[in-house]
Amino acid sequence: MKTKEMLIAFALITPIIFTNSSAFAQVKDPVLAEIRYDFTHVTDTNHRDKPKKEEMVLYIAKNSSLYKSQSLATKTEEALKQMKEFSSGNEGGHQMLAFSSPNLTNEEIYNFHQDKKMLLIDKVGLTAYSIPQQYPSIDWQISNETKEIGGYKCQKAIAAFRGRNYTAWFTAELPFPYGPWKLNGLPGLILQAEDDKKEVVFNYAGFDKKEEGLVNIELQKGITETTSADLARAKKVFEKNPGGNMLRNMPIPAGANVQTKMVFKDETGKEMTKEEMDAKMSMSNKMNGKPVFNNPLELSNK
Amino acid sequence: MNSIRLLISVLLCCLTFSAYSQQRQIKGILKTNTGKPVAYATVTVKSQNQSILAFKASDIDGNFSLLLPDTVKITELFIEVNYLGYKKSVTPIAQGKVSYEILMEEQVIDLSEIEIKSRPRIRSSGDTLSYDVGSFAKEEDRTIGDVIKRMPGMEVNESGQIKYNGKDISNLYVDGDDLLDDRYGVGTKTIPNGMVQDVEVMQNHQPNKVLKGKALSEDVALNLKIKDTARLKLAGQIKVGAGLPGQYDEEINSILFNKKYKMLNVLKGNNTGTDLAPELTAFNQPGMRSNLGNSRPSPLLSTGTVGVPELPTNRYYFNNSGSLNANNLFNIWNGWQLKTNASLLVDKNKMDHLSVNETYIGQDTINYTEQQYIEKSPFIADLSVRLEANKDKYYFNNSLKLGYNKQMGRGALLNNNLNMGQYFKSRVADFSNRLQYIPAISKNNVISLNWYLNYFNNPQTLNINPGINADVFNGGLAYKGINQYVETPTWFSNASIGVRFSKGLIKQNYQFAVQNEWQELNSELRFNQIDGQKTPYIGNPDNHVEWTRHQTYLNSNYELKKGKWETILSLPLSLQYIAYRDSAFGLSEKKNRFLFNPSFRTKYYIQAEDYLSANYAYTNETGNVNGIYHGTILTNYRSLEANNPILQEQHAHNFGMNYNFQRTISMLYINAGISYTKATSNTIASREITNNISSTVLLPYTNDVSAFSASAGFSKYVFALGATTGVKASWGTTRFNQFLNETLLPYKNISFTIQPSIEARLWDQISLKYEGSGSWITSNPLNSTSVGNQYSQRIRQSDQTFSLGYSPVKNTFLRFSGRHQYTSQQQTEDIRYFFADANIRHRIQKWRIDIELDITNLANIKAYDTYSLSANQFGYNHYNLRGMMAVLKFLFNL
Repeated sequence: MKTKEMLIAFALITPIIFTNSSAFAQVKDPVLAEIRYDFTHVTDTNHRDKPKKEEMVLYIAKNSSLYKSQSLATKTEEALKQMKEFSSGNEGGHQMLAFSSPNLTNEEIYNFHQDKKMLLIDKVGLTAYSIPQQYPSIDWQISNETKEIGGYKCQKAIAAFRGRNYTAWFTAELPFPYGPWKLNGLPGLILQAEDDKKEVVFNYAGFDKKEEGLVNIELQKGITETTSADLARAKKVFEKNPGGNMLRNMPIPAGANVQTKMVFKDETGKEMTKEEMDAKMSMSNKMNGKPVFNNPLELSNK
Repeated sequence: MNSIRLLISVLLCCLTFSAYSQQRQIKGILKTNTGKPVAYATVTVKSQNQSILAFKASDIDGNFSLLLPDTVKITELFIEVNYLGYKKSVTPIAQGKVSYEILMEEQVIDLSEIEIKSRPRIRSSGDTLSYDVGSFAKEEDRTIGDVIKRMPGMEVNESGQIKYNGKDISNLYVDGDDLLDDRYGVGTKTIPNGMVQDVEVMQNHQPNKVLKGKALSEDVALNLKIKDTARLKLAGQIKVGAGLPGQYDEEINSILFNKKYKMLNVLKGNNTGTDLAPELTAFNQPGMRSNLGNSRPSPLLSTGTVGVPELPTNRYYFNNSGSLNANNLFNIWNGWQLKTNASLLVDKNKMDHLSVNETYIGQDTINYTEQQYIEKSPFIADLSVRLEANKDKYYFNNSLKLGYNKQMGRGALLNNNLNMGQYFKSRVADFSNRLQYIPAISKNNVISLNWYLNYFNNPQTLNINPGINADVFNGGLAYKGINQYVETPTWFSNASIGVRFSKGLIKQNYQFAVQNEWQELNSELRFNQIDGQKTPYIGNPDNHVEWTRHQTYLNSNYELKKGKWETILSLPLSLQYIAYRDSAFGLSEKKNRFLFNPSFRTKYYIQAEDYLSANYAYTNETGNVNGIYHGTILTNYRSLEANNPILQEQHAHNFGMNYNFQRTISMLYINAGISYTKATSNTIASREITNNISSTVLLPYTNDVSAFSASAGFSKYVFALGATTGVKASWGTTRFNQFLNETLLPYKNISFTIQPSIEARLWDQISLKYEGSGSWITSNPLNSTSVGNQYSQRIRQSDQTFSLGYSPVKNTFLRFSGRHQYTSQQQTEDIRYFFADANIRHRIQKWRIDIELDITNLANIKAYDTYSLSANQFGYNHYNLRGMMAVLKFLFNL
């Protein structure tokens, strides 16, 4: 966890002849509200003092929810702003970006509550993959203990889930059956949750309504479906030569004549060449060793 | 893990099996009135205290089935279904009834019932940052200024002026409307924080819609987003305060922030030392005037040579002040807006001080001692009316401003054992009108038409009795007194037409302007002789200067925004004609000048939130009428000023660089900058000092002045402590010349200042705040051989304030604050002060009343000494302070 590397790569793909816009058709579920969580996770039990910390956001819509990294969203917005400047005069170009940092989660969790369907979207380089998840039907036990969080009256619920015993605080004042990560299914929004070892903690960090139409939960069609095992393997291969693989894996429609431009940046925003980035990434892996990750969120699959 | 899980499952099974004896089943179906089942809705069973006992989602056919423990009294429970897209339904559970058919009424998704009680602290979108007021507010806060102070990156000074990342904000909007214009200090100090949802910081703010995306802007503006609930009702407060010794402090305000109509009216009065004038300050007026080329001569006469101490006014200000501030804004129709801002201030204040001033010239030291008691009674009235339309197609604005102020001063003064009485009178009449019309002529091009007209006059009179310094003023003959009168009536006009092309890479803006200034300087210096005659100063006619300045200029402005670069280049060319004459001195001069004042500014975005900016400007400035009058004017009881009628001309290079760094997500803000100025002018002020009088004459001389400064600031919100921390530091050096008693004295001043601060909250009950400031100032003569035994002067000062707040029970707040000041100087002993204040407040929520006891100056310090240092002058000032006072205030929220 010592490594603070963060690498941004983004590509500018300007289609010259052919655009395949129908490939990105989407089903929209307008976001009604959002809740933020301060997420703490002891990923390395040998270094309990250095847990992973990240600000997460849960978008709430009528039939679905989307959980992802707010820290990443902020970075993305910054990067998009920069890309806009790069591409000015080049409207119509399709832009993609990817981040690599141990402190940023690229994973997004889509919860289609009504269909009891859950999808995890992760990225290898610039390519997104979708991994269907076993739907978490959690057997919550409600207690009559209450406390106030962020001005909301919350009630306590406990449950064992994926190898950890969670205590969650939910509020019926916000009648959404969602919560952070895969925790869900209570008669109100979960504002706070933690496991009994305090290795996984989701703390409430604010709730806000969203104007309709501002954000939508939409799943891009045409994302390759895969399994967690295959994804892990792909990631391993990718990390050996990130720069080269990034180019190779770029999702360009077959037969399209496109101009591409790829920019790599380090955590300070300094631009790097592909070679520099590869060198830097393998260097940081050698110097600090791969960060130890011995305590995943899910300890069992039940 | 698996085994434990298994055990729980087994246990649950057992429970379900044995449930028949201990649990009761409730089942039913959710349907709409057309019979359509409502699927996947969460059905809860709640008790009277809203606690959920059981819940279950309905299945695809709308069926649900719940188990309830038998121990609860079933008739006090109800079934609640709160599902998006349907009206909330509540059904009481009846004894013996097992099956319920619940009718659900469909409705459009309505989130209005969902209350936002705590929002994310800071959100950013594009150039706008939103700070959630609720997250930063503490219970003891009353106004939005109290909360803004606590937001990282923000500063609020005593007069209510706001800075974001070290930069003055341009406007304070209320729900997008600029209600208060730039006299927004009253807003910072009056608007209750409870009314405000978000404080939005808008960077690169372009207020004119028609110019959006067509002109670059560096401005930062703040918008107060008002809560939905606060928009509808009239809010107001009444403050009644009384205390010892003989103190009063009253206020009434009324606030309404409607979409159509907004108002903020404040009536205030006190004798507790609160100066009400800063609230009426238009923060951006001087900048606006200088942009238009309207530089006013500074007032010439004054009652003494001593300023005010650097303490909050409630320590030294013996006053009786009242003010009225009325701001009204009407959104009339279709984007047209009418706004009136009126203010009135009446005051009577007294000041008592002693000052000793030493000036070192060669081997000599010249001493002045001044002891003064003075009573002043200012009266200030201002009115501004503004009609504005801010639309996508055009911008129109006409603002009319009327200002009148009057000040009388009367006092006794003892100067080097010379006793005298003074009577001072000053009036200001200020009228201005500004018209702006900016239509878009096509998608990318706009025209702008501007006209600004101003009349300004500031007549002043100074009477001194009896006749002092007869040797200097009256050829050694005793006389009765002196009358000095001076006025500078001025008309100023600036009319311009501009065109802006914003297509293409480089946005171009051309402006052609005609600027006219007609000014007079009339003065009269009279000595009242014992025989009743009034005689002029011997050999010195009165001034009747007629001054005109006409200028035409063409300004070409180029803006380039590409990638990470933002650059502005401005190339103004101007032709200036100045004429001045005064027949009494046979003076008649005409000057034509061709001036070129280019400026360049560039900004480079290192990342979306970080930028580096650099700017350069070359300026040519010509002096005003204050620099060319020939007849002597007595500016105060011991200073005589006159000029050689040479027109002051100065040209200067200014260079600056800034680095701005912010990380909104981690609430980290950093800025750093350097600036360098080198100016050369063709004149120097030559001072002749004797033991009783000093006279100044402007002489021709190539005079170089240079200044360099570096500054940096850091502010961070520490999440773990809930604390905002910050440090600011600056270092500067100035080189300049003095011409004293016919000797040229070059000087170099160096100053360093550092200001750490922290504000934290512990255990939700205790709040701590610390602000420190340390400064080191030295002043050295540059070539000490030529000036003899000049001292190298050095002053060290520190000023630290801390405050401790404690809330022992809800709605009661205690605050204790202390301020420590320390000054150390070579030739004199160190000065130390410690001021302490206490404040207790209790809020009675039910009656919406705050009761407050304010005790200031607990140590009852009644006198205050300061040292000041500038080049070869050393000053010592002694002020009388107000001493301890206690005021009890009642605040009613209407």
